[in-house]
Amino acid sequence: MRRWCTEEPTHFVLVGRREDTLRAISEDLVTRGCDGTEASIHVGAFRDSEEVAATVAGALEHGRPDIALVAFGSLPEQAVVSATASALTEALEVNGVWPALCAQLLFNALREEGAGRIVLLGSVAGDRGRRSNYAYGAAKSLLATFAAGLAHAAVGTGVSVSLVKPGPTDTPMTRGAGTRGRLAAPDDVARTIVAGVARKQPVIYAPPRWRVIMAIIRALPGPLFDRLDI
Amino acid sequence: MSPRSVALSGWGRWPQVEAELTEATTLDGIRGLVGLGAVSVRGAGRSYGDSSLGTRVLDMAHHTRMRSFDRDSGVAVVDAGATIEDLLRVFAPRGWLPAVTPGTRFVTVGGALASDVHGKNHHAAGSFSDHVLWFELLLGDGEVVRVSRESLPELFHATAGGMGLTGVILSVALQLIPVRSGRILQRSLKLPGIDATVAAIETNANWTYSAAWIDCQARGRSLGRSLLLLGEHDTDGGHDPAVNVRRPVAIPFVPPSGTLARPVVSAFNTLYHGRQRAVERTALVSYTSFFHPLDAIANWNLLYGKRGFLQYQFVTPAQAGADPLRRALALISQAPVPAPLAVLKAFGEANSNLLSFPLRGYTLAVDMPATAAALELCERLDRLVLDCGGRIYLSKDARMSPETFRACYPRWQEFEEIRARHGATGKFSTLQSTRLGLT
Ligand SMILES: Cc1cc2nc3c(=O)[nH]c(=O)nc-3n(C[C@H](O)[C@H](O)[C@H](O)COP(=O)(O)OP(=O)(O)OC[C@H]3O[C@@H](n4cnc5c(N)ncnc54)[C@H](O)[C@@H]3O)c2cc1C
Ligand SMILES: NC(=O)c1ccc[n+]([C@@H]2O[C@H](COP(=O)([O-])OP(=O)(O)OC[C@H]3O[C@@H](n4cnc5c(N)ncnc54)[C@H](OP(=O)(O)O)[C@@H]3O)[C@@H](O)[C@H]2O)c1
Repeated sequence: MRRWCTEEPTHFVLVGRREDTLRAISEDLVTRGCDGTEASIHVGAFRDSEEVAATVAGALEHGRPDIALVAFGSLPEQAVVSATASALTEALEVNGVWPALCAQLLFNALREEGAGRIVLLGSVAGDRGRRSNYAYGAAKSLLATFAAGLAHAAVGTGVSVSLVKPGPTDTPMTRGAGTRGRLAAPDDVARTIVAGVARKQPVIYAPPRWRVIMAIIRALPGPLFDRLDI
Repeated sequence: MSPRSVALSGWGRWPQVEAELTEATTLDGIRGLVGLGAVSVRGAGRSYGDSSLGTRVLDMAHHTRMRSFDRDSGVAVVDAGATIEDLLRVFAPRGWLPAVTPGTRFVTVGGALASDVHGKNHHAAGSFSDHVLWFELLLGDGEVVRVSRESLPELFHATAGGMGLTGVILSVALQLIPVRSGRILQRSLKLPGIDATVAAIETNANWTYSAAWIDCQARGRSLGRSLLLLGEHDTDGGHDPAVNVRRPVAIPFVPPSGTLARPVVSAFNTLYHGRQRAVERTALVSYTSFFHPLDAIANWNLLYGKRGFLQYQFVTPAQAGADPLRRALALISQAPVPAPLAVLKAFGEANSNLLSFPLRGYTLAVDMPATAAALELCERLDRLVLDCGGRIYLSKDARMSPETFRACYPRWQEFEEIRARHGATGKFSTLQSTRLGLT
């Protein structure tokens, strides 16, 4: 999901908690991108509201973005978060509360400019709670409602808000034990996101077929849903 | 980061093993894994046999980041998991291409260096490592060294072609070549037999790219009849290498073993021999259709069914002339083994790597299903190859004996000594290295 389009000269500002990773990604973007591609990095984490505010403010010092992508998150094992209070809290915060706060702070800054696009990474997991990952899913659905409300608030401000709902994708998040089923290729997901953002689509399913799949899953009657092992 | 139990195989899908596959994403992760004991390094798994297999496997295919590109000199530094396809996508539009590409664009740069792969231009440009300026290597003790011909010559010449047995290649600095066009001017010659084929390869040695598809089913006077494809970079036209033109078609299921032969034979024969009526033809073709025709079908290796297949590739020295080729083709065409097609090309001089495959002479590669009859045919071919001072390509091999290996690669002891000096003994091993008696 890190592979943004680099067909026109773009200045990337990368925000994250590990400097060496950010540096490697920025080299990658500059090397792959067309002439004129630039990348700066800002090291910061998202662990409490002060830190989130400081990180967003620091990122904005590099200039007001045309597009702000909020894509941090972590996929915990449901068994672990079910058993550990602190892990559950963290799962809800890092996937829901802190991205929502980021979005609000970004919106407040962009509204002054009267332009800009905010893109939040939700998930198909937020469309219906399932026993296998409802903590993560609940946080993502918080973000979905938040994004919808923010988009509503943004009407007439020149700022747009999009929520991306990827299906399971082959990234570091889904590697290792415990992932089942077929994973989408990050390039395909990225392409869908780029196209959706260009069209200012409010909700972007990626790959698009997930829009239909999730409509069906949402519509399944309870007794039938209960029997599914998902 | 955590290991996964998976069934792994090379491109030939034979043999298949259960392995613990780890996709270490960070340097510390790789170090930790190497610290545990013997590790096998794997790129895209496009080698045919067992050289990317083992019980504990490090998957380097996700290390695809690019580090830098010098627009003036054409030197690109990329992580070992970047593929030839990645290089084409990023650099071809700017007029730079990899100097050497194998017959598929889905190999990693690390794998290409470890096998020191060759392309259709070996006679003119040498092999992959000849265009590598330096690389970073993680050794058995976890130390990372930057290896060039000047800084650490013995590690350079042991690692290039060293089949992942000296350490983990982390990144590679490659000299790309400038081109004026992404298209290839292709000349194809239809040739009636092996003598004509070899003669035509020699008289057309001034072409940058050259390889012949041989119809292995032809016998008698037609033995070795072929289609020789010659290529030269076009001098103008767009830079699009056409990687995007068509998405590879995927084969959705594994057909039962044995169905292979007929469809494959007829498909390939129509494509490469029957199709061309004229004796000679010239055309402008895209880069990928010239270099990577098989990539148009994503997983054509499934065509050989559940049993899998193997590729036998050998080289015979130039001094021996066309005679060993004639005898090899006769053996292949007479064996009860469906081996429809082979690729023949001339190699230029060998480089100074300890285990690199190419040497001045002719190389022939042929696919066959993994059957007992095919293994027997390979044994006979082994003898023929060794008798004339040739060798067998490790990157395709899944079956040669330790004795054959030592006869093919007489510098194996030197290779072992260098591995011992740099802490690789017992640390980096593969199913292949164990089979070949390397420590
Ligand atoms: C259709 C097809 C056509 C081909 N045509 C040609 C051709 O024309 N010429 C040619 O020379 N070859 C050819 N090959 C073979 C292929 O180019 C080589 O096997 C190549 O090494 C595969 O690269 P890989 O990334 O898939 O490596 P793998 O198959 O995963 O590994 C190959 C070897 O490299 C080692 N290795 C991989 N990555 C690393 C790393 N990061 N550090 C250290 N060691 C590593 C492995 O241990 C193993 O020994 C062809 C293969 C196919 C499937
Ligand atoms: N992959 C999928 O199947 C999938 C499906 C639906 C939605 N998504 C969503 O897509 C987004 C991108 O995920 P991805 O798949 O690309 O996975 P990823 O590579 O693991 O990316 C997640 C990133 O979030 C960072 N992060 C996590 N917690 C953080 C914190 N507290 N502070 C700062 N950074 C933090 C991680 O940083 P470190 O590198 O430092 O750990 C990591 O770079 C996420 O929001 C994810 O929920 C993914």
